[in-house]
Amino acid sequence: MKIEILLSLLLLLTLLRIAISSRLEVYLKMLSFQGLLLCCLSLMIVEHGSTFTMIVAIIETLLLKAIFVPYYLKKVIIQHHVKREAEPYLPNLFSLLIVIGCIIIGMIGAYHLQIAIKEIKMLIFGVGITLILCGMFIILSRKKLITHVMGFCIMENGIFLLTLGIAHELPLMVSLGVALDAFIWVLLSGILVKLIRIEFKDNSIEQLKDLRY
Amino acid sequence: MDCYLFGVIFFALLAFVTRRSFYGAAVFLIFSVLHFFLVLDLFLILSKSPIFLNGWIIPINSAVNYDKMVILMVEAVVVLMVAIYNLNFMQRVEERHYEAKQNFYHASIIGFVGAMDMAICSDNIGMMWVFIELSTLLSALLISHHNSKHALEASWKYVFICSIGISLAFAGIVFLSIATNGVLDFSKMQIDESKLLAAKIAIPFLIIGFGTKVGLAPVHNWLPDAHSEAPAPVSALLSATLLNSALAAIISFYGVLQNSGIEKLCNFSSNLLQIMGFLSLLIAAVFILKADNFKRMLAYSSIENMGIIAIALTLDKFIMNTHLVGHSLIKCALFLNAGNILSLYGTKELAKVRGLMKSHPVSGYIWLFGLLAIMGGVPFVLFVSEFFMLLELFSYSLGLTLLFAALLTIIMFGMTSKMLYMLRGEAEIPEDYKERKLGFFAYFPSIFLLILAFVLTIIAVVILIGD
Repeated sequence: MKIEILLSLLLLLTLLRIAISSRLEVYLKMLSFQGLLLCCLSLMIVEHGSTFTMIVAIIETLLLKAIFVPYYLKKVIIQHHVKREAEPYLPNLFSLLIVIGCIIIGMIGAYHLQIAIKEIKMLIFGVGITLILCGMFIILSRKKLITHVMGFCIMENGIFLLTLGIAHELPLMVSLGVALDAFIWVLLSGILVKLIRIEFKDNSIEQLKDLRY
Repeated sequence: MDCYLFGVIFFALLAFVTRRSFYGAAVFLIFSVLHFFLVLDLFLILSKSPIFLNGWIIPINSAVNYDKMVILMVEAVVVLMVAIYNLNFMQRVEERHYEAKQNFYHASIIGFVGAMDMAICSDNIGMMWVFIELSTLLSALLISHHNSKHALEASWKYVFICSIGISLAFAGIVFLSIATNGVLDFSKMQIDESKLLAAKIAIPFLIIGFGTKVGLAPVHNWLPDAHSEAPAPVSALLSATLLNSALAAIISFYGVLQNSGIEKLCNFSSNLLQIMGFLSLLIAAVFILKADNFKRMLAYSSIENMGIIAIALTLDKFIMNTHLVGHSLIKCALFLNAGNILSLYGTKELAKVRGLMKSHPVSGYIWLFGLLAIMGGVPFVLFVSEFFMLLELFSYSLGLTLLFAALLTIIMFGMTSKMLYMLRGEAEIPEDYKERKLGFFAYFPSIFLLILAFVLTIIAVVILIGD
């Protein structure tokens, strides 16, 4: 139980680190670290599950979230000489405050949920909600397309935590399918970032404003 | 089901190894013909007259009920027509940038159709989610097929907005699994009355999440861009089948809520669907008046019709199904014809397309009858469904009836004025496009679909008046 608390706190710390940083490398490292933490957490929580469930959890967290996604995104960044700045719209201090706000909202929300529904694990659910909110915040507050991809990955991590936080496991096929979709999603967004880079000679969301009415 | 999955993968690979666009399109056509007969087989089993394969390839499962069968059947017809059109379309654009990537295009289009089938047929809401997300990913590359700036922008928006929406739907599935004690199969799902809160949280997540994919306002932003920038066959597939496949998830979920008999949940979900439906109508009414691109106008009309379907779902299922079928068939015909107009005039801008009736009468007549039909013109199926919806709404609330009628009138006004602008006047066709003629198969699918919609009108009237 104590290790669970420690891992959840570390997950929240990665969010704070992302909030105060404007270097893309830090984002990648934190994403990878989050994958590792999720792997430990899922192994601890599904210890009563079958071997297959364990294997799928390891594939999804360790191979996909901790190794493949950061490696692939790094390759995209290097290949296309994306500037290493995350270019936030807000100063880092505000980002930090907003992320702290997300943590408070997530925790209070999970606390109230647990009172009404006994069977959820409050801490994990709370961190999950926080990750979803922070992922959305990062998507909204950063200019670069590649940071949007990272924000979405953080959101997906949050949803993964939500599934860990409930008592019933999802069917094996569903979790396999979700992992497959996440994999294709990252590949596809990488391809789109490349194509947009080639076509627009720039990689910020401000270019994508042509289509209206 | 596994057999079917392997079939889809086989055809996608076959399309992937083709060298010329003609062969790729032929593979897609063969796939769509087989697909049509498989769905027909399923339909015959469901109506208790098995004469074909006896469900050998797609076994009938408890998930496929009449609501889903309607969506599947429409999908099969639309895919077949799109495949016929696609053969002509590929010849038309062969000389340009299509040739290099045609194998990718045909492989993803086959995978896309397969993913939608699996999404509609699956009983488990989790699997449904997986396949709906897969269909998003497979169609994203189809939208950016032109590789132009606008196409890439539309594709990026599509992937991003839909993926975020669908992720929220997954959070909804997590909450739903709490409320149903871990059961995710629609046929066995029962909501535990002691966990109402979880079910109540699941409703907005699921309806808004899948609603993003359906194109309901206020989460519709991807739809006009994606529909207007995609190549014509893809726009037709998106509008006539993809939106329905996501709608299947909402319809099944709504069915579970209705069966649970818990009034609080039913009312909450109906209210949410009605709010989103009316908001979609409002957005469509505003933007159709402003649209300066004829494919975008059709896209906003899709938002409008999805809104109508969402409202109809809360009123009467038969009316909803009638509207859904009518919209899919007619909208597919219109998008395919929009592709023809684009080929003939070389522009999507409304202001530059004039004199359609004089210069290209066949396209002109399809455009005229198609738009009349989609607005709810008298001899067509959407008139029947909208008329009976007004009657249903009238017994529900007078204010909503008036609002509904007013918004439909604005949309009708906007579309009629734009349609007349395009049909009348003198054609000003650019020099390169003057001699262009399209073959019979560019027009045949649209004409066939419009005739089918007309035949359905008669059937729908007979059934509805018989009630």
